[in-house]
Amino acid sequence: MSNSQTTAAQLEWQSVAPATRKWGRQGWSGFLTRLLRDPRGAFSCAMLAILLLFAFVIPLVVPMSPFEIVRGERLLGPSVSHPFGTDELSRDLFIRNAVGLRATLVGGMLAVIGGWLCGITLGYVAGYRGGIVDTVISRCLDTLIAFPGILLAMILIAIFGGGLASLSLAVAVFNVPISARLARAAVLREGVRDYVLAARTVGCTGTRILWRHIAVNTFGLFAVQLPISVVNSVLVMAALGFLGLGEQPPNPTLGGLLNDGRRFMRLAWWYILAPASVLALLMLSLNFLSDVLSEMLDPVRRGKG
Amino acid sequence: MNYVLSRLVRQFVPVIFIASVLIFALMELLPGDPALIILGETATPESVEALREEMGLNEPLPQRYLTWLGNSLTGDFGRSVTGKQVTELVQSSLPPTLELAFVAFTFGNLLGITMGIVAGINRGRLPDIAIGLASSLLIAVPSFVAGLIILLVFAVWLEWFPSAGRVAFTDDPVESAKHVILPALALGGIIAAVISRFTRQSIVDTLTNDYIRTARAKGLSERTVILRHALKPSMMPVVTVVGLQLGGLIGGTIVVEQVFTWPGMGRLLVNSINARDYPTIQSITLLLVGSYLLFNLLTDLAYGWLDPRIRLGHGVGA
Repeated sequence: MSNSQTTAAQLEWQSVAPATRKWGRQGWSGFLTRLLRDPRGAFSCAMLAILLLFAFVIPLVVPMSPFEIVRGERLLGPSVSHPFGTDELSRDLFIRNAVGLRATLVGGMLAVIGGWLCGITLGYVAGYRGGIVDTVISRCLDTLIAFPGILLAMILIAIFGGGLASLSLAVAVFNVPISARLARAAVLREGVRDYVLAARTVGCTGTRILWRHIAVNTFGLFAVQLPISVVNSVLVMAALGFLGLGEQPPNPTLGGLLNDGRRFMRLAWWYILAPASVLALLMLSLNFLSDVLSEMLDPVRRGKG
Repeated sequence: MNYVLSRLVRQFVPVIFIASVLIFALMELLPGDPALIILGETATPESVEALREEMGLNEPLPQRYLTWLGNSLTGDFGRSVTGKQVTELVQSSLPPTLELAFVAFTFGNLLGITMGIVAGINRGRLPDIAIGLASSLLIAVPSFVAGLIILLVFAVWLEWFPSAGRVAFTDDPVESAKHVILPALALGGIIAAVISRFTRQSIVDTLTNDYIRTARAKGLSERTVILRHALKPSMMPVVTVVGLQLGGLIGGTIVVEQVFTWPGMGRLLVNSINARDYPTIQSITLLLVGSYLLFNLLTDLAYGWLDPRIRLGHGVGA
């Protein structure tokens, strides 16, 4: 009895597509070396490391509060004690930018993770089940994709009200159709492969085939789109914050700081310049990183390079 | 013709139908009585009831949906919570948006094609590298952030251009142009970047053709080779990408209008979200989604027209 089960497991391993095994062997160190050898990859890794330190470490080690109001220090220019200057309520902008960046990053990542988990599940189910389930899910996704991304998020905010939570939810919904379509297409493509047939032959259940075999072979495909989704989500988060939607004063977000800075542009250039530069550098490094990653992960483009 | 029909019937109509149901339903699910919002908390129950009757709020839901859709399609968007007709609000904010989008689109494409040609014929040399870097920057930095930086530099520091508002072209053409330049620059930058990448690649591909070698071999100047022989065939793939940029413009204008306080549809939408003016939000959303779908439809049709394999239902890769 136990003997026959071992054989089934061995058979299953042999039936796993080569991509799965290669993925395991490739290793992270080789991956990192190749990433850092590209100048864009090196730049974006260094810049992201600085920005992450700024967002997650500075608020912990700098003994200033993003909400502390000091009398008589309104709209001061950059100095040693206030590297990014102060705002109209005498709050330190250095710490406010750090906390704002952290909020935008955390919100954006939560939105990507939530949206992608939801989307991938929907896409797998639609592609694997087919039939009426597929039709219903696909039509709904078509409709969601018919809305320009930021407009969809704005409608959801209009309904759910402001706040970082509803902002993240809106951006998550915007990620669902993209990931779901990708997952559905991947399942349709992989589902007819020999290794799926082999797994079915040795008696794997549908759920096991879907998650243990098809899913692992489609991760490479997601790895190309995922960084693009992160870029777009952070961008939409910041844009919505700038539009004054989803901000809860006095909590800073990058978009909110841009919105406030816009009003004091003539009096205090540093107010707008700091969040604008932080966001521009963040988007630049995320874009470069997603370019390099997609080139590395796409075998066709890798072959050319 | 069959392709056009099937694309229209099988995708465009169902999606816009579901989208309109969704927009209507979401706004209906919201708490609060629209009549009460318009009249304010001090209104008497009788006047609220009268307004509900006038607005058709006492009708059953499906009938209200049909009335709303029918009215919207004929250009009657109902009444905003401010008491004004939504149609009037849209009429006053649509021309500024169209003007900005048109200028940005023209500017972005002209600049992008020029950049692409210069980069393509100088492949691997300094202009190519510089233009490649510039287009990477323009693609990466969001248009509203670029807009804020442009605003700070050109309007606040250098004071070359006004920082906000719009002047109608018919009132004062010079002032109008001064006001539209900065927002169009912010919005058109990303278009220029995308178009320049495609143009460069297309020029590079075209220049490897045998007929280009023949043209050079018979002693034509490089200028004539590029302008007379290479340019036209390399524009074909670019034309298809140009259409795709229109859809992106819709999302871009919403935010860029806010940067430059441009009195267009984007600002109207943001203001109505802040004022919880749901009838206006509904109408603008329907309009924007409708035009977005229309742009996508036209782009698809253009693809089908240019590439018969798509029209005949085979995949390009097949």
